[in-house]
Amino acid sequence: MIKADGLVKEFMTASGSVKAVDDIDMQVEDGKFVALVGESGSGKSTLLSLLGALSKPNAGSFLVDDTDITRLNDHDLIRYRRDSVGFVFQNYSLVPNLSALENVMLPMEFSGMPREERKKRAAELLSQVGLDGDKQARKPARLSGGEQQRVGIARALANHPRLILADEPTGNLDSKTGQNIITLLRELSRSENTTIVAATHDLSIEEQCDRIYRIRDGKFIDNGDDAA
Amino acid sequence: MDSFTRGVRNAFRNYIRTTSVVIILAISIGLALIMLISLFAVNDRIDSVRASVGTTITVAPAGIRGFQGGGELLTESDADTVSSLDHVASVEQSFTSRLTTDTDTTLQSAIDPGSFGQQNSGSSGQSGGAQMSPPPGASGMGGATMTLPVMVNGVQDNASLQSLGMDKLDIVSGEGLASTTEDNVALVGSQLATKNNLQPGSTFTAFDTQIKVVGIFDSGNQFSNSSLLMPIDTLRKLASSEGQINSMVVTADSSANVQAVTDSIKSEMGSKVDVVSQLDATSQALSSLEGVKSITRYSLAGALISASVILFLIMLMIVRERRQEIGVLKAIGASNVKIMKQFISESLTFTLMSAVVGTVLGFAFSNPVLNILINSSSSQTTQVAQGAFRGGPQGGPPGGGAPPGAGGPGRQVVSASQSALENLNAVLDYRLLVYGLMAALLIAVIGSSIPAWTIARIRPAEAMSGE
Repeated sequence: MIKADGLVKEFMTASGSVKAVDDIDMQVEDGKFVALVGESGSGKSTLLSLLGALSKPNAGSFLVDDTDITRLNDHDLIRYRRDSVGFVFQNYSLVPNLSALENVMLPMEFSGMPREERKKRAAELLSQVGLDGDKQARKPARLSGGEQQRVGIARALANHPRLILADEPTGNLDSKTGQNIITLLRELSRSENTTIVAATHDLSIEEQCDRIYRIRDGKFIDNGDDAA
Repeated sequence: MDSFTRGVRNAFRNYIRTTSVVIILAISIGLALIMLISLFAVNDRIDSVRASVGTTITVAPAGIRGFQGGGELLTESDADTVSSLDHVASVEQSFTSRLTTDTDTTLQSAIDPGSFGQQNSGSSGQSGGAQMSPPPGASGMGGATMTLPVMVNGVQDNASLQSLGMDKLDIVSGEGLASTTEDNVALVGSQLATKNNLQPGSTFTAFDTQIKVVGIFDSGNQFSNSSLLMPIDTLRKLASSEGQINSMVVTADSSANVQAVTDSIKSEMGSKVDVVSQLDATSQALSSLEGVKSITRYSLAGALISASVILFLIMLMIVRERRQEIGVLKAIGASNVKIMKQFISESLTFTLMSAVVGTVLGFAFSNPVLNILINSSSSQTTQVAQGAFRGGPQGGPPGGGAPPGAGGPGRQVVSASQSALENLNAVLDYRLLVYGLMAALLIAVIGSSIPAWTIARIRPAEAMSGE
């Protein structure tokens, strides 16, 4: 279970202090697929970065199995991001001069897995998300947007994370491909018992989510209607 | 693939940029290598010049050169003082006198006065001690044929040639002088012996004393072959100058300590002595080499600094360009060390490729560049040295002048300057490659680690923001 309690993230701007995340409480059971729905600038991505320990909150706590992530030192934060979290980005964020296979191998390299082992798992993961054969050896520029996002999802799954954070995973995709990606994430959350938190303003995602948090100006305006 | 391999591959992500970076860096590294090669060549030459100069220092009474000038001679206690100084290996004393009719010698000089001697007959002592005297039996100088005085050198050891201003001393008949004798004996120069029909065992008169010839020597030059050598204590006793010294030749324990010993003597003896080391004679040559060394040293530092700055700016640009990618790497679990390692290996790849090209450039251009530096210094030095030579000799060794063929200090300076700068070739040896490689690695690590460290320290969300 993950549990956020009173999370606050404040930014200083030219016009003064702005709370991008303002006193957020949330609780998600393991294996659930949760959506953060809101307009651009509502605070979805900032909340995801707090949950993924990409940035530190100004106040509040975030517990993963009773471990307060906000209190970890830098070394433990690296370990948390590496072993417990998988990220899926809107713009895929693949390393352009590495092949699809090598991109998926990256998180496993950081966790110290032997080369042959990680190569084998990366190939399996790419097959699982529907990329086989020579496409695994292609560099991102030679893959379609949907294929790149599948590589991103395979990469996010590499180290068996208990939490996948997806920031607008369908934002750069056509509706049909986007739907396929959401279906894929949904299936993975069930088969791998992985908790998925997806930030989106795509209303079609709502149908497949276990729970939806609606966010505006950094606050939840609707915190947890069961959707599915 | 690990961070290191990824860094190497990253160096080839943009071929146009990689080529540009390698060319720019190669020029800097090549220039640094050229300067390093030149520095080594100049340093080697400085060492060889210093080694060839020798370790001797001549100490003469202030104001006295041979039989010119005026003042007080040195004493044996002065020699003891110098002997006690640090880094002094030995001290050779010398005492010199002239045999003229005044000292009642039966010897006749073997040197014909010639026009030079005749010219100086009216200005005694103005030409390196060539004071004229009438031959035995002549009454005054009016209209008489003049003869030169016979030089007699008192020596401690006839194997020590430095104090005699001789290149060699071969005993052609008889035997040498015992170093500790006080007997009234002499070694006679071959020309003087021929002129006066002397052989080993024969005698002549000097200082109202019968002197026995123990041997005949050949020094290879007419001036010295027309002189006498006597035990120094014998000569001082006969000349009523006991304990006095015309000059000392001090030998330092190594060429590196010649300057230190020279300074110590000047400090200890003060204004009562004039100290001249062979190092002084070649200081013009060394100064030109030191000038080239300074140029190469500053240029080397400049080239290394510019290479570092170029690489630093390039890596800074690359790191900023990949800021978002670094954020992603951190988000998926890369540690700061792995990120730094990746950028350092990328920088090393740039540097090593540039080093290879730079080494080729260094090989190709080191000798032409060194020649330009040397030619520039050589012309200046020769002008300075020749100017000094035209200014006139500054005195010769004890005995009233330098041996023929030896030249004065000015000529030695010109010769030393020219020989020091001639045939100076840049040679690439393993030390240069090792030092060059170490410098290149250092540049690569410094040039990349600072920007990489700066970006690796920031939080992933900040890096991914792309701002």
